[in-house]
Amino acid sequence: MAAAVVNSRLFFIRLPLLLITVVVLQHSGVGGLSISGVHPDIILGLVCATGIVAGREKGALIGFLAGILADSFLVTPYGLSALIYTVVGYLSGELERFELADSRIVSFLAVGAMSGVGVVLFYGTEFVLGIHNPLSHQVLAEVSVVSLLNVVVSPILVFAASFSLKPSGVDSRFESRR
Amino acid sequence: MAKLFERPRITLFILVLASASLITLNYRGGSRFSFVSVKAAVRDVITPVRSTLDNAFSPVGNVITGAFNYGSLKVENQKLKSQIYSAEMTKLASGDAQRQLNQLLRLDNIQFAQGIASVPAQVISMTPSNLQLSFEIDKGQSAGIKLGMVVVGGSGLAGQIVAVGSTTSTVLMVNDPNFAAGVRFGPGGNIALLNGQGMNQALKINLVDPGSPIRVGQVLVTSGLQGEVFPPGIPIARITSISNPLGALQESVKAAPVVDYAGLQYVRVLKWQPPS
Repeated sequence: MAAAVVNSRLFFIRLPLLLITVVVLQHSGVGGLSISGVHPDIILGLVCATGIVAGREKGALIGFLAGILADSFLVTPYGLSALIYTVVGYLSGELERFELADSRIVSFLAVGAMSGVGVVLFYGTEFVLGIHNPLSHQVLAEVSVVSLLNVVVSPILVFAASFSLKPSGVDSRFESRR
Repeated sequence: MAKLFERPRITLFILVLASASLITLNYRGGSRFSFVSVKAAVRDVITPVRSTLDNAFSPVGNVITGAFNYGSLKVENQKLKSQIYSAEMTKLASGDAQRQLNQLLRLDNIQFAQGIASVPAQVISMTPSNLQLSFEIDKGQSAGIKLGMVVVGGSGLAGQIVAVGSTTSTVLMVNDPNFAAGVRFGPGGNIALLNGQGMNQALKINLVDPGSPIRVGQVLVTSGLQGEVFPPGIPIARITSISNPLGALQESVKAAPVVDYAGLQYVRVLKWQPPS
């Protein structure tokens, strides 16, 4: 009982720390890197990893919180990143239906694939809001680069999400899914 | 069959609704629901953590570099390599210092925006996101920077302040899709509209009538017309291509920013605000 309370408190410390760390990393060293003018998006990667590790509800919730933090650094409308990350977190959690995430490698690949979906959703929503015209080769470059980079860093992101969201911090991934 | 109103779906619905409400407030809320102060508060909290993290990472890099050199048996070879390395670094450092000095001299001698008070600032980081093209400078509210102020480099307009923290500010680049400015060109001062098109895309110049006196290499300057957000006469872009599609009502004109963002280290923030 006491251990459960301590674990619950640790969850509320670990999660904000993880979110702030990832946002800070995105806006310091990692975000400064670019391949063909495309920057990595580890916030998106973390949201996907959270959905895959902890299920759609937590994925959507963490996506929303991460999006609110990310929006604070952007000139795009407040709530845009929150909207996209929420949907991406939920969709990542939906992968459990296909029972793909039982394999670690498949879940790493799924982080990359869902990151690509996130980029496409961003472009689509920006187009609907009249912010950006998505019909350019840059979209393909962005989808490819972000997906690829997030596959590369997905082991770290999956581990971080698993550690932060599980009461015991161990890999009991499929127990607490909703 | 899965239940329609299961808890994760209700959570998703609530969160999407909350996000959509925030977006709506951005567009419809006016100044009462401006999120500028919220964004500034979050940035002010995160910025010190970020600086600390940046400082923390640089010694790690140095340690790794040092570890690779440690324990080498070829002492003589190492010594020579070290000498060559330091000589190269000195050369690079002097080259970099010269480049910085040139930028500062150009900033001190800019021929445009004369008579407008300004604040010098250093670029501390370039855009970290794929969603916007921006850079950050080391001056904020404490230096009198306000939203909407204009930022210039030695060669022309670098952007506009779009977010202000207490000690840092974010500048939207000219090639961001959200950026637009009225421009003039040619001896008659013809008017056109410049729009950013995003990463690795040329700027688009709209409203150029066929037969206008425009040529490749020509420099466009801000128009400064009534309601315009930039003071007049600041160089902003150079024409890179012109074509006249058959039957089109305007020339298809592309341009590139006059400011070289890759090498931008120092800028001036003009303490000029658009007329309300």
